[in-house]
Amino acid sequence: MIKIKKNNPFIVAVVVAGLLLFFQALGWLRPLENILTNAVKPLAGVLYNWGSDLEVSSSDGVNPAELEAKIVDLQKEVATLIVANSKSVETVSENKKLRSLLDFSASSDWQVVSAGVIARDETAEDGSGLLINRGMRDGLRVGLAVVNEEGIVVGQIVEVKDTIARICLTTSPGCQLAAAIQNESKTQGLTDGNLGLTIKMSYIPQLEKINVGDTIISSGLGGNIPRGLVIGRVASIFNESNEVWQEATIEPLVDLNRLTIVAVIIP
Amino acid sequence: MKVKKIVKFIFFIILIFVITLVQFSFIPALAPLPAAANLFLVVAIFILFFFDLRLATAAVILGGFFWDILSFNFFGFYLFSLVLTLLAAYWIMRAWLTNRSFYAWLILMTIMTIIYSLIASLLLYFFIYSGQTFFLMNGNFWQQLFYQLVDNFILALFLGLLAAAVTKRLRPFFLEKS
Repeated sequence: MIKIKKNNPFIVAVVVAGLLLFFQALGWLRPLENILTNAVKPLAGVLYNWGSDLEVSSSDGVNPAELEAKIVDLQKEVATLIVANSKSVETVSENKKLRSLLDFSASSDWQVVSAGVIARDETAEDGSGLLINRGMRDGLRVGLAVVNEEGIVVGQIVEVKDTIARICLTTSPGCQLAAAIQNESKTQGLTDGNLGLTIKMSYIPQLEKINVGDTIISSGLGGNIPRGLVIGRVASIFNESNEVWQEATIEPLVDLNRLTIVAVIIP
Repeated sequence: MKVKKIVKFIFFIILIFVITLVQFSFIPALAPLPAAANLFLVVAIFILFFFDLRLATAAVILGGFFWDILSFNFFGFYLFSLVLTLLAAYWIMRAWLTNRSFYAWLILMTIMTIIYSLIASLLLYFFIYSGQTFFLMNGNFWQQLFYQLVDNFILALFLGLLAAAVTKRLRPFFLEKS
């Protein structure tokens, strides 16, 4: 049996912890929190990058034959994209002319704030969430889209403090985005993360025609995320004729485990 | 003498903050197996085992508070998890592991890894995941516990060998034959 002595360190610890909890609930610790997080953010980013680099270098054992096959696939894809891009350039040019004819000013009020990843989110059960070094003071709020350097959506802000924020990745269960398929009928739906590995788009009406390889973009519904940001590509379709809905599995176009720099799009 | 004490105190605070930051940013960025390591817990129990309770309590309060500030878990999660784990460790040391051998250190670290996982998971279950399956029925919990046991055991091994090399506090190294 442990005798409780005066000045028992555990009693002191519990009292101190209780006081800290009380002060935090009152908001008195916020200035100290901001000072500490601002002070450690740069070092946290460096440490995260080191850890991430170690993880990348340890998992980079690839088969040369697989690499060669992948290069061939990518070359074909590049060729297809060059063709598609040239058509897009023509479309954009035509769009500009038509807008000027209609005297329509297309102003973009969206700002972009770059952020560094400083840690993985431990609150996410499957670990698929990140913490970034920007917060409310930088204009961030819940619901904003987070993209990588190529403008591909990687997640969404789910919680914000003054100087840091938490993002859920598109593959995290519960990370839902209003999306649309780039097919003839511009099918709309909701994407949700699946086991931290892929993205699922459910409740697609049976009558909608979707194909493997279709691009999934943000639909712009809700107002927080602009329309047209690429989320991923349809990898497989689950379609039973006796079901009302069909489901699509979407593969992200970027390795979400290797993000170190992201950008937040602010309306 | 006073200046020396103040310098030691400041060094101690910086060390605890650096270890907490490494635990917060560096370790989770590693591959899944090493990312389960709880370096801070190993260091806190190390301080308790090789030094004294007061120093270990101070480490846990400072580190737990700092970890809570950085984390998006509810405030107090790490503070209370670590304080309760330290209390359990102290009780086990007083009741069972009465000598300071290498085996005692490794056994203590193994037990405390399990206890910390249980305490942390219980707190998360009651405050956040109460509507979901109880964590003991979740395969992910057991996988993470296994990874953490492996990682913490390796860290404890390393720290124990380091302590044996630089200090005489760890004596006898192995259990003495009676």
